[in-house]
Amino acid sequence: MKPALAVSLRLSLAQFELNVEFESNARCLGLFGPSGSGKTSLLEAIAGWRRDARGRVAVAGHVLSDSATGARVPLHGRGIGYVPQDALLFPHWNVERNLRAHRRPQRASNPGDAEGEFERAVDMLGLGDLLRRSTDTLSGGERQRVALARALISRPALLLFDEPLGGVDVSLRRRILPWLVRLRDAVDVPIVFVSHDPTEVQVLCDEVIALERGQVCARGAPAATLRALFSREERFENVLEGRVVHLGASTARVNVGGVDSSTGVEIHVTRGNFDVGQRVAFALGSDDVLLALTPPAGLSARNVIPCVVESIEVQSHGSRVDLRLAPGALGAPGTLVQLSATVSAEAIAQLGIAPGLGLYAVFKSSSCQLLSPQERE
Amino acid sequence: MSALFDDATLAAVRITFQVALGATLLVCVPALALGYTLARSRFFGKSAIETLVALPLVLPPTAIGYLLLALFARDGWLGPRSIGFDPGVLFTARGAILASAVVSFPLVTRSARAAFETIDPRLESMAKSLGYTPWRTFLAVSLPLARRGLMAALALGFGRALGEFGATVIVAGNIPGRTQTLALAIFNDIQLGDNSHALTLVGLTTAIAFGVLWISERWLEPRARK
Repeated sequence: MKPALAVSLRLSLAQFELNVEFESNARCLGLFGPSGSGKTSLLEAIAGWRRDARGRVAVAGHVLSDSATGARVPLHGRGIGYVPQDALLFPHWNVERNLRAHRRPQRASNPGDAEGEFERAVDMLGLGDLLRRSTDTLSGGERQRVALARALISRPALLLFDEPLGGVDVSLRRRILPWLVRLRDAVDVPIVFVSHDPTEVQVLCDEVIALERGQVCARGAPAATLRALFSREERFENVLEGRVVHLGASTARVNVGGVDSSTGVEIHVTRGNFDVGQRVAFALGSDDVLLALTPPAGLSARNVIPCVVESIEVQSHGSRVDLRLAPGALGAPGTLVQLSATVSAEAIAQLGIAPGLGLYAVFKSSSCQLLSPQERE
Repeated sequence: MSALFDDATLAAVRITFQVALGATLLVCVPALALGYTLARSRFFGKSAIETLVALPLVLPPTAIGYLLLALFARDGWLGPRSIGFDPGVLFTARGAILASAVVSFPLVTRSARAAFETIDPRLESMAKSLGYTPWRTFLAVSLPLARRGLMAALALGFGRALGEFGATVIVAGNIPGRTQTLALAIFNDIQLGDNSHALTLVGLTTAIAFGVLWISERWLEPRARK
């Protein structure tokens, strides 16, 4: 089968040469790396905006450009929905005109459904009240949502998102993230998502490619790949996903990593805008997790989760302990869910923390920050 | 009006506007097209074309007039003998329009280029990625976004054509009621020693030039926020 996206590109940048080659069938592929690592240039080259890029780009086996054969589909025939970091809304048109700014031929399977596509995107991204607005009156988050909707409505064969949450502050990012999750689940075309935020990548992507100075430096499943990359960071944001199993007065219980309630681990989180049975994602900072050798008693923290130590990364400021959640009693077979905790080197020595040791991860339900679904406005 | 200005003066005003408007219309499409090409494309020989476009700015208008005269003369490359019919350029209003157009072409081209260069080329790439062909992108995005600078460019060209003298007098002559514009009429009056009439025409020309410049400056001003 032809890969959904096959990229082999070389491009000279000011500081280094971008040289990237990959094939991917991911539904949502993350491109992760620090700023200046070549992520945006790569995305622009895939879109065909960088005429000086050499190499080959193919979407679902359809070659868009190949410098070896000289093949080059013109930009207007590529079917690429690009959402750049600065949104690039047309300043001389209002929101609705921007959303209708596309000239792609109708899909043969459902001709005349352009209006439905428009309504769907406006509804999904909550743009109904903005349609008449001029683009220069929009906030950063609104601009991004308009740009996302415009790309969707143009019915592309590939979606490219360049830090769609880059220009907005962290609290707003967390509010827009659920829109992106909905969007990812609603479209049937592959998405390439550029971000330098490991939390976003973990929530959205099913595969991640990490770039450094224009080269691929790591690739794989997001949680494991990013954990390994973040060995030098003080704080790592764990992203956990699960199904709501119980709603309490102010907290809810979420089953993480299990196929049913008997196999996963139940985690208490602050109650949000969700119902029993719904899937939710939440973030938990590695420095919000305490480690205990025995289950502590008389504790206000709601979560005391048995874990097994997988590895320890010693750093100058604090060491990161990577754990695997283990349901039930210590020694039971572990889940696939990983959790990282940041503790001091002294604590590691005093508690005798070593790979294979069973212990308890302790954290408050309020430390679990809901990422999706969307919070009640 | 006629009490203040005699028929010859009114004819000169009419011819001046006809010539300037005709020259602006003639220049409009090629200057905008070349300005856009220079703003957006890189190609072999671009700097040669840039220099060639700037040349009429530096050449004496009389030299340009002489070149046009030679070109459209009976045996010239574009003369009646070469193309098989009389294009009717020499000593006609058509000739005055052509001379003014050639002189204002570099101004309009350079200003149009500057206007197009202010547009983020990524907006044009975005339009193309959304399925707009290059031509539709130009019409729907580039042209409207540059419109203020382009209007100013055309106003500048119009203003330059209003005051054209050197090339016009050689190609079109100085025929009252047919090719005599205000600039030529002023020259005529001075030659004839009619200083008071020359002064009236100078005042009139200044007023017209002021109006044109004022309008073009207003176009260039950043749009007031709503």
